[in-house]
Amino acid sequence: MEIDDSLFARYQAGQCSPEEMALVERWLDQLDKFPEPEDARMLSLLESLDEKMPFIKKPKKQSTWQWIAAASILVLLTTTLHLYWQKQSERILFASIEDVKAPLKSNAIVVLENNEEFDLDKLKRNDTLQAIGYRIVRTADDQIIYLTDRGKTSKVVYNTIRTKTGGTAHVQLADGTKVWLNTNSELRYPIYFEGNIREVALRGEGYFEVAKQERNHKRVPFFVRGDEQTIQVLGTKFNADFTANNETALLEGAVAFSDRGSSLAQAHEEKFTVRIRPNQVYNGKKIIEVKDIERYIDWKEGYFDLNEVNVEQLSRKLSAWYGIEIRVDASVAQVLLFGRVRRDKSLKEVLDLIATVHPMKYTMENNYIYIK
Amino acid sequence: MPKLESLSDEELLLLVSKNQDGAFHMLYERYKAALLIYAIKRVGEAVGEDLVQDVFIRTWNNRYTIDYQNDFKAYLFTALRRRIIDYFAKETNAQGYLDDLKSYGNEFAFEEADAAIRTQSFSDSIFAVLHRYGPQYQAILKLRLQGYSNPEIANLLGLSEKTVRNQYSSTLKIIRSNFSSFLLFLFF
Repeated sequence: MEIDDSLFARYQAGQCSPEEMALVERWLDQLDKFPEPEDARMLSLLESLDEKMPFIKKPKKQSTWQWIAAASILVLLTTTLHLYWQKQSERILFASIEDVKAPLKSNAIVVLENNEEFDLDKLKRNDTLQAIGYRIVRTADDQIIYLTDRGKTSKVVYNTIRTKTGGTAHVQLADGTKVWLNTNSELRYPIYFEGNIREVALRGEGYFEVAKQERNHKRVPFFVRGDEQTIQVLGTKFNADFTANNETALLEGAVAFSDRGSSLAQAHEEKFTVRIRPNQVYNGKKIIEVKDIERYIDWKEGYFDLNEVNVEQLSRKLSAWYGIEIRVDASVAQVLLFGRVRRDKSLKEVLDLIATVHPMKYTMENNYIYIK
Repeated sequence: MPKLESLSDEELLLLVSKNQDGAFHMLYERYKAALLIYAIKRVGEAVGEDLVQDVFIRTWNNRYTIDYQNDFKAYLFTALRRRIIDYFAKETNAQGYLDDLKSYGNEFAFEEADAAIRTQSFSDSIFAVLHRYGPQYQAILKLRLQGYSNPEIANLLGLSEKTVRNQYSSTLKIIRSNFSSFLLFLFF
């Protein structure tokens, strides 16, 4: 077959013989002249293609404005409420003990890099919150995840998730690390991890499942920075309680401690002198062996673990969860409890259940619960 | 409103004919990555993106009049193939391609291929590209770039781990085996 220079033009004009058509098509099918683009390049090519399609409505922009509007209102609202709360110290007035219900919402907010605050309860499952250069999504299983366009973020961007009384949150960080935040807690984290370390700052209590990350065949370390303690994560699953309790319980892997607080994005010279193994708890002073380590993450699993907990300790947990002050009489404060109670029960149901373990009476006066 | 994801191409095209733009968007999501990779491997990134964009916009503009002959993906790939050859015919720098075609033609002397078999192998090869560059490709890509593992991606997107893994199996091999050697074995 004669292949002349006009073959393409004749194909285009429909003037080829069937043999010529077959040749051109089969040649084209096997043609492999250019390399496949790398993942990041491919993604940006696809996104730029998306932008040129007339049938794709641009929900991005529209929703950004909606969210910004919503955010400004929220910021205003929170400012007002904040002033109010400062006086009220976040206390709600309950008419009777029957009204003290378990929180139905997550009572958590996310604070963006520009200090805009979003109520995470407004973000329903599968909803996306469009920020500048990244998106925050609540997945079908109530996890908060970040979608970032790495190329667009030049400097490290920090977000904060803060839970209020009775609030919890479950966030997945950019490296795949999962964090569950207990009530009245705060986690500050970069939306993308850069460089040779990963670090987050924690106030309150959080359960961590740290994902392994390697760069140039070296493990990238993960640090949890607290006001009074710093944890170097060598392994995977642990509960860090930086409240007045100060207890870190290790479920899997290994963690090490420096008994000094630290903050994000600073040079650190730290010595991690204490190291614990699974089923051990470190309280800033000593290491304790624990038989049932799971009870340290009862809050994450949605119940109160009462085993080896006394009434005084439990009352603190109940107080934080239900948002009401509880006073325990010295006569019952040290009584050890056992069993477990689901956290979605009302306060009255929980107290009734405890009363079956150990006889005790409770009353409510002036928005305080008294246990005798 | 039924879930668009679960509808077949034919059902989506029916919705397109009833003015439902979302259905066209869904079709686009299904085939954009596969078309883009097909074009890029032949004419490079810049030209490839232009041609794919052209194919989709033309299809969109003529969505009420095009006869897809009950195979939307074959229609798209055939249209893209035409655009690529148009590009060769028009461009002055097509000489390199012409030389390539000549040496290909000299190397493989062959008889006229049966039209039906040719069509079948063409759609087989499309199927192979779609195996990896399917509708979830972009989402998987995004999560991969953020360092998520395959099981995590499967979990987040509600896919099976196998699907996510497949998306990352070597495409080159699949394309080659289907587009060239597979064809050659068939014909010789």
